[in-house]
Amino acid sequence: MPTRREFLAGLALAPFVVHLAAAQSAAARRVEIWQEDHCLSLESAMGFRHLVSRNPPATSFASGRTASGTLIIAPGIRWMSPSIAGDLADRIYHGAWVILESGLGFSSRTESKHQTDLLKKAFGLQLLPPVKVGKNPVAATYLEYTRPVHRLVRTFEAITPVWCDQSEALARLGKHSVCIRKRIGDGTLVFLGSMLGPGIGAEEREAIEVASALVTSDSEGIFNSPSISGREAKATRKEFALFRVAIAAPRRPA
Amino acid sequence: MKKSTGDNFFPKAMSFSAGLDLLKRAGYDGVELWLGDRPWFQMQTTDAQLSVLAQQVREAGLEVSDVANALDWRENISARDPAKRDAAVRHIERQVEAAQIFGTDAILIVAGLVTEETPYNEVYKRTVEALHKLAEVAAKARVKIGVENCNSEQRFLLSPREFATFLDDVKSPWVGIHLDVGNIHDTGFAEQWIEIHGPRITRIHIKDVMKHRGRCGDQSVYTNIFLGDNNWPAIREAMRKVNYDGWLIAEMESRYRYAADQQVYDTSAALTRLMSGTF
Repeated sequence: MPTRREFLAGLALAPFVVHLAAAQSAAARRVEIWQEDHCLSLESAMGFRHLVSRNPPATSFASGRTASGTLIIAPGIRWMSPSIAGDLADRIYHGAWVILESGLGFSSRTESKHQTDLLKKAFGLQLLPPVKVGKNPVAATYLEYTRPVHRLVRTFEAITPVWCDQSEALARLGKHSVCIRKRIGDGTLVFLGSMLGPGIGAEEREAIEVASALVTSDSEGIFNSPSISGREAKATRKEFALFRVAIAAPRRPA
Repeated sequence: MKKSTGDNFFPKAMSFSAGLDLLKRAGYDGVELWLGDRPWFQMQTTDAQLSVLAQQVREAGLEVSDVANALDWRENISARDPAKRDAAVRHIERQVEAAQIFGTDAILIVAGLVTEETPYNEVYKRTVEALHKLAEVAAKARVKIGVENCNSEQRFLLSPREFATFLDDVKSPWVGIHLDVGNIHDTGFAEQWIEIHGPRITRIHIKDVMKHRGRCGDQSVYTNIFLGDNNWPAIREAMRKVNYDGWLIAEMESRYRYAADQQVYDTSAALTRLMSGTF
């Protein structure tokens, strides 16, 4: 297995290193990885790419998936632009299954605030300020996933807690929800407030098990949460329309 | 999880049955029996005599957690001398036979000793080859061979990744790791060994380590649980992470100078505290 240094050096040579380019995995035809051009995102993308290319169930998205059947993974996100957020929201709304992994734990306070505001507008995510957990005692070593499978997974030094309804929570660290799942339109957003991709790349057993469950076609069933009502769906559509208007004319920072 | 400790932890001059009674009173669930250490369990001990020992364990209200091996240090499967190598194989086969008689499903071995004279590559190759054959014996008997990580003492398999590669090369579900959380010293972190090896862990040896002492002085590097440098909360969480629910076997090297039986009680209490996860 490559070291982290070898792994990143390999990435530097890869032709797909583009700023938030939609990189189609050759082995998994219906998986798109929207990565950013920084080491966190690239490292995580490599982990997810490895997962979907070697894990046969992870490439079977055709059945049991939402209408469009597409899985989009946005790893280690720190610099998402409003237009990319809009495109991503659009894809979710029309049926895509999106795994959005936060890399905000390593961002500056200003960057983090900007992204937090954007993610709230785009996806209704209510993120709390990122927390460094690396120096904390053992309570902070592992993130406890309760869905789609019950596993403990190492935190990635910094986490982005998220405010959510308990029915949406996938993983917690102490009192914080860190990973959640939201239905938006016809699609689903999985938000990972602690990076999972690097653990996959490092072959951490439990990280691979959680990620495999998140990307396999029957995850929808595993989550076992009620789908939103028609009334809620209408509300979601309205919110989405408002958001599209909002990102069309983004406010300048004061 | 269940608590155990070795019969080599019995106070000196204590009989087998008195030792078992002491463990029971101290709250242990089982005993680890060491081939080649105490007089009641040697290579020449017959099957009938082993059956008597098994009976005594049961009558004391205990189980045999596993069968360990005190002879590997003299005669190892990695030795150049064919006679020593054959003897080492025979010890391990006897452990497997004894495990069946004792009704346990795991043995502990020390596989591979690197010395100035016997170089690393040679030891690696010979050890893997020997374990390929022994794995077949283990599979037939349905007894798992737990290769202990005696890192510093063996000068072999010093990192968890290397140990994992070694087990990959042995390639048998009947060969895993008997993980000693005290043996890692300052070359790593026991909790990370637990995470990496997870389902391949056959048993866990429990002791604490004074990392700053190293192995160069006349004082033991090992000490009582909670007194040394191991991060016990992290170790406990790592066990939870990998769903380890098997035996915790205390292995005390440093002994109380007085009231030797008290150390057996104190160690049992420490194991209980470790299992509870309250620190």
